[in-house]
Parts: sequence; C-alpha cells; structure tokens
Amino acid sequence: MKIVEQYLRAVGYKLPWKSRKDITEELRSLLMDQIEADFGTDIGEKEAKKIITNFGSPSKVAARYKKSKQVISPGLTDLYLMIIVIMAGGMFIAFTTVFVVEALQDLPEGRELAKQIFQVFSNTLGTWIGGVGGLTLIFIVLTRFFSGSIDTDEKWTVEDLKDIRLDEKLESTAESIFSIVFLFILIILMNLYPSIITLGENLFSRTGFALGHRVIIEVFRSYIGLLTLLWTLGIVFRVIVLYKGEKFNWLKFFEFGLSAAVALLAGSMLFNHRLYYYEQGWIGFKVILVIVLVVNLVEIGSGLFRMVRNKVVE
Amino acid sequence: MTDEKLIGNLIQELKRGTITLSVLLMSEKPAYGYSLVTEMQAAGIVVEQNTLYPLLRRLESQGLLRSSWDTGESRPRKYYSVTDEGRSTAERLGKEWRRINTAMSRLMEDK
Repeated sequence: MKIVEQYLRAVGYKLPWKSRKDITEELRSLLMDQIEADFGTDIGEKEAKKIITNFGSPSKVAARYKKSKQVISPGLTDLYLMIIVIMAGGMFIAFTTVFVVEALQDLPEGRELAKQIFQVFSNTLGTWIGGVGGLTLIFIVLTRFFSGSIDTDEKWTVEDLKDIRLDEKLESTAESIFSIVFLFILIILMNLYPSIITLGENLFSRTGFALGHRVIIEVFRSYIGLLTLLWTLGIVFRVIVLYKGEKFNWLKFFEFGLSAAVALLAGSMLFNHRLYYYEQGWIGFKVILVIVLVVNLVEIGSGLFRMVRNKVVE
Repeated sequence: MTDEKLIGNLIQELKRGTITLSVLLMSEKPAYGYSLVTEMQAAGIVVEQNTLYPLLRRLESQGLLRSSWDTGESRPRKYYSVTDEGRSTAERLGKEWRRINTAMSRLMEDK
C-alpha cells in the first residue's frame, strides 16, 4: 500500500543506517498486522492512515529505535556553558582594550571610529566562534572517553573525602572566573597585539613620568609561545578548580609548579638585557615582572606553609 | 486539582520495568511483535506498540531475546524468543518483583 510505504520511507530516513533495512521490514510487518487486525484484509487508504496516525510521527517512531547520544556529557554541560560565556566576556574585553589603547594614541574620527568600533564586535565574534569550536571539540573528546568517570565518578571511593579540608573555604567561583577571563585577555592581547606593550609605554610617557627602559617587541615575541603555554595551563588549572570546587593535593602541586614556572620566566625576562633598550632604570615593564615574580613566590611560600601546617595539625 | 499528565507520567514510570519482565516471561515460545502486544493486553498488561517494538530489539541486543525471520507466512514476520540468559534474568527480576510487591502491599495495608 502506497501510504504505508511512504510512511516507512519517512521513518527509515530517520533511522540509523546500519539497522534501517531490518527495522523498516519489521515495522512493515507490524503495521500490516495491526491494519489487518483492526480492519481486515479489504482496506483502503483511510484505514491505513488511521493506523499510521496511531503509530506516531516518523521522528517519534525512529527516535525510539535510536540510542540516545550525548555530544557533551551532562556532568560537563554547566562548565562548558560557563566557559563559553567567560570566553565571550574575555575576548570582548581584550579587543576593547586594544581599541581603547590605540584610540588613546591616535583618536580616530567619523567613519574610521565607527569602523574600529564595529571591528571590536566582529573580532570578538570571529575569535569567539573559533574558540567555541575548539572548546567544543575538547569537550566532545572528554565526553567520548571519560563520560563514565565524569558523570558518575566511577573511581570514587569514600577515602577520597579525606582530601577535603573543612578548615579551608571552598574555592571562590568568582576568583576562578576572574582569573580565566584575565588569562584569556592576556593570551589574545599578547598573541595578536604584542606591540600593545609599546603603546602602553607611550601612554605612560605621556603622564610625565620617565620610563627607565623600553621593551624590544621583536625579542619579546620569542617569549610569547612559552607565556601562552603557561597561561593556557593556568586556564586549565582554574577550570579544574571550578569543576572540582576544591584544590586537592595534586591540584595544589600543579599550582606550585605553575607558579614556579611563571616566577622563573618572569625572573629570566627581568634579567635578560637583550629584551630592553634604553635600560636606565626599573620604571616600566620590569615593574610588572617584579610584581609577577613576587606574587608567585608569595603564593608558593604561603601554599607550602599551609600544607606544612595542615600536616602538623594532622 | 490533580495533574493528569503528571499522574500519567508516574504511571508510565511505574510500568516501565514491569514491561521488560512481562516480555521475558511471555516470549517463552516464539512470538512476533503484534502477537505479543495482543497477548499482553489479554493478560491485562497494557503496552503501547511504539514502546514494545523497540524494547524487543533492545532486549535482543542485550542477549536476553533472540530473533529470527519467518518467511513462510503470508508476510515475513520477525519472531522473538527468550534466551537462557533472558530466562535467568526473568527469574531474578521475578524474585525482586515479588519482594517489592510484598513490601508495597504491606505498606499500602498500613495506610
């Protein structure tokens, strides 16, 4: 009967290719059984339509034969959505910063200003779409290979609870989000506009304070790969902290390692004289490096102190 | 007023597990989809065709049912019958069902 065959074709189109033929054959047999049982062998299109309507829409019928597939596991969905929003915010801030710094140097007017403002949005959108694509791929891979352990914590044992320290506060979500946004901004700015350092130096000079040195951007570029790697690891660290809600011991060691690497890099940049010209003082980019160095050394010191104290208390 | 849709969903949830057990028990001798629906209905177990047919395939893929096409009749039909694994699964599910039934009956009598 034509209407039955049309229905089976519509259902089959939505079925998995592998089992399409077998399921369609079976559905044909089942439909005909039902039609015959309800109306006998002498039936018209009207009766067949009634049975088909009761069977349900092709999509509904086909859906029941398909295994549900998840692109991103439910355990990761909130985190995925949160990072997407963070990325959008971070990228917008980064491109706005570039626009503002460039505008402070040489304020565009009229159509050029409108064009540059439009570029802030178009650059944000373009980079964000690319970033979301990459992020989605990462989450698909995580879902494909680790969804069992992510969704149900299969390897969890009650012993794992010992690592949770009730005397320490839960990690601040705001702090993690702020760090991720900040690191995103740094990655985008330094990779796309490393000369923003020069722009910043020019702006600083305009305030009347004398710069003690200036950064040679060509030399600075050789550090960008390493900096991007450390900032990306920083984002990964913060994302894990967001996901776990706690800094477990292995995460603390990861953080120490990261802080040590950042401090080491900042130190080497600080004393690399090839990185600067007109080197007559510390005022300038070196101040930022000193702050980075000190902050990271303090973080390592205070972290180690807390760990030792906790061990002693135990 | 009671939400009929909610009650409907809860009843569906309640029935879901029992349909698997019913199918395993009723496919001791080979049966095709439509005959199983009518037999189940005759036994007082109402099941939608769209629920039962995919379930048969799922139980087959889990090794609890086996299937074969019979092309000797007026039209080809796929027959399903319970495997040894399906039989022992039905036995275990049956025991659990009786335990739940006893507990629930007691619970409702106390009300």
